[in-house]
Amino acid sequence: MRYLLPILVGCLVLGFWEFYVDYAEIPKFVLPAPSAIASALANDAAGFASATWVTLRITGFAFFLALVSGVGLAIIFSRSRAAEMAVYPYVVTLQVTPVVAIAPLILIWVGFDNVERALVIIAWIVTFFPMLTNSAQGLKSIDPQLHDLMTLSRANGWQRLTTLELPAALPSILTGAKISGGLALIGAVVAEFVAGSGANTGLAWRIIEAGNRLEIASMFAALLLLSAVGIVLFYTLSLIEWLCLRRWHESFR
Amino acid sequence: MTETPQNLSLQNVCVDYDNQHRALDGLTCSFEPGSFTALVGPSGCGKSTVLRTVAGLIAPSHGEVVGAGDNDTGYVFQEPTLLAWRNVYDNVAMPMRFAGLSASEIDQRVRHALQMVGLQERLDALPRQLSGGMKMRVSLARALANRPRLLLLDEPFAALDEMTRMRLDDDLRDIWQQAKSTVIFVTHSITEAAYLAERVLVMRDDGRLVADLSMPTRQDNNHFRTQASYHAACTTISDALGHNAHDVADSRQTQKATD
Repeated sequence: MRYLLPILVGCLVLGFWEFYVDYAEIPKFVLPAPSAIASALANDAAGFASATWVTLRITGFAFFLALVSGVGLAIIFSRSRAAEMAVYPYVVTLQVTPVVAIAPLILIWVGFDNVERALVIIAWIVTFFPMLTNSAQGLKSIDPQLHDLMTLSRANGWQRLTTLELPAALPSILTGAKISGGLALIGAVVAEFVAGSGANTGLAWRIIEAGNRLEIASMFAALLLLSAVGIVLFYTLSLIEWLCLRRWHESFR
Repeated sequence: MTETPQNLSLQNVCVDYDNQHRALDGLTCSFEPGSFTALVGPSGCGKSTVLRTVAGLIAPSHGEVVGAGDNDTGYVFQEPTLLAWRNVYDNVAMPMRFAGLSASEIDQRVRHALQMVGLQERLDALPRQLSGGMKMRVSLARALANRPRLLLLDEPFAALDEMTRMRLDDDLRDIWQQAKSTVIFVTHSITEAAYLAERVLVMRDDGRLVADLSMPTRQDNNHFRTQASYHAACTTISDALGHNAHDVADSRQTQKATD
C-alpha cells in the first residue's frame, strides 16, 4: 500500500494530464503532454545525461566540502569556546546574506578561468550552515558523564573524538547531512542560474536555455531529472543513516 | 587508624564552584586500604563532589588529596554511562584499550570482570538490549576490570528497583571481598549505607563532615538485614543526619548574623 498508493495517484494524474492537454488543445509551449516530455528526454538522452552528471558533480563536491568543513568546524567549536565566539558571527553573516547576491563576487574572484569551481563554492555556501549547526548541536549534547568517563579512562584527544564524540554526534551529523544534501542541489541550481555553466552545461542551464527557446517539454524533462537527483540523494543519505544507526539508536527502535 | 604512605586521605579539602558557592568545606579524612566506606548526606550536600575530587575530575580550591593514583581508580556513575553503539565487551574493554594493554590481557580481564557481575553470557549484547540492573552491572564490570586499588561509586543503584538494588548490594559486598579494593560508596539511603559499609561518613548540607561512624562487624552475612545491630546502625546514621537539620538552621542564622 505504501508504494502502490502514490504510484496509483501518479498514474491517474499523468493520464488526466495527457488526456486534458489533448482534449483542450493546450499549445505545447504552455503545457506539453507527458508523452511529449518523455520524447524530448529520449531525443536528447546523451545531452541530458551529461547535464545531469554536471549538476550531480557540483552538488556532490559542494556536499562533500560542506560535510568536511561543517563537521571539522563543529569539532573545533566544541574544543574551543573562544574559537566559536570568534568565528560564529561571520558564519552567520555568510548564511544570512542571500547567496544570489554574493555569487557575482565569487564569479569575479574564482570564476573566470574555472566556472565550475565558482559554482561549487556558491553551492557550498548554501549547504554548509545546517551541516555545521547540526554537528555542533550533536557534539554539545553529549552526556557530560561520558566525557568524565573519557577523562577518567585517560583518553587522548584522538581517542575521545573517535570513541565518543563522532559516534555520539553521528545521529545529528546525519540529520544535518540529509538537510544539506537537498540544499546542495538547490545551491547547484541557483549557482548555475546566476553564473551559467561555463563549458559544461548542467540541468539548470538546460532549463534556462529551453525556456528561452520555448521548448517547454525540455524544461519539464530537465526539471524531472533534477527531482530525480534530489530523490536519489535523499534516499541514499537515509540509507546511510539506517545502516549506521539501526543497531543502537533510539530512532530505530 | 594507622597512617601509611598508601593511605588515601583528604586534607582540609575545599571546593568552590564559580568562586562563590562552597561545595566542600574543609574536609579532612583518610581511608584505610581495603576498607569500605559509605558517604551519606542529603542531596546537594556535596557527596558527589567528594568523589569527583578524589577521582581528580575536580581540583580542590584549597587543601589536597593524597594517595589517589588516577591509573588505579575505578569510577561508577549514577547512570550506567555506557557507549550505546558498543557492545558489552567493548564497553568494558574500552578503558584498558586506552591504557594500551595487550589484547589477550584485556580479553582475560573483561571476561573475569563480567563473570564477577554475572554477565559472562551477554558479551555481544548492546546496552539497549539490557535491563537497567544489567547495564549497571556492565558499568561496575568496567570499573572493576582494570583491577582498581580504589573503587568510587556515586549512588550507583539509586535508579534501580528495590529488589535489583538489594541483589546488587549483596554482589558488591562479595566483589569487594574478592577484589580487596578500597571502596567509597556515595548514597542517600541510610539502610544501604548501614548494610554495605564498615564505616559511614555523614555529611551535612554545607559541605562539612558531621559524623564518622564505625559499623558493627557482622557475624552472619545472610541475615544481617534482620539483626538488631543492623537496625541500631540505621538509627545511629539517622540520628547523625537528624542532628544535622538543627545544625544547619543554626549555622545559617549565625552566618546571617556575621553577614
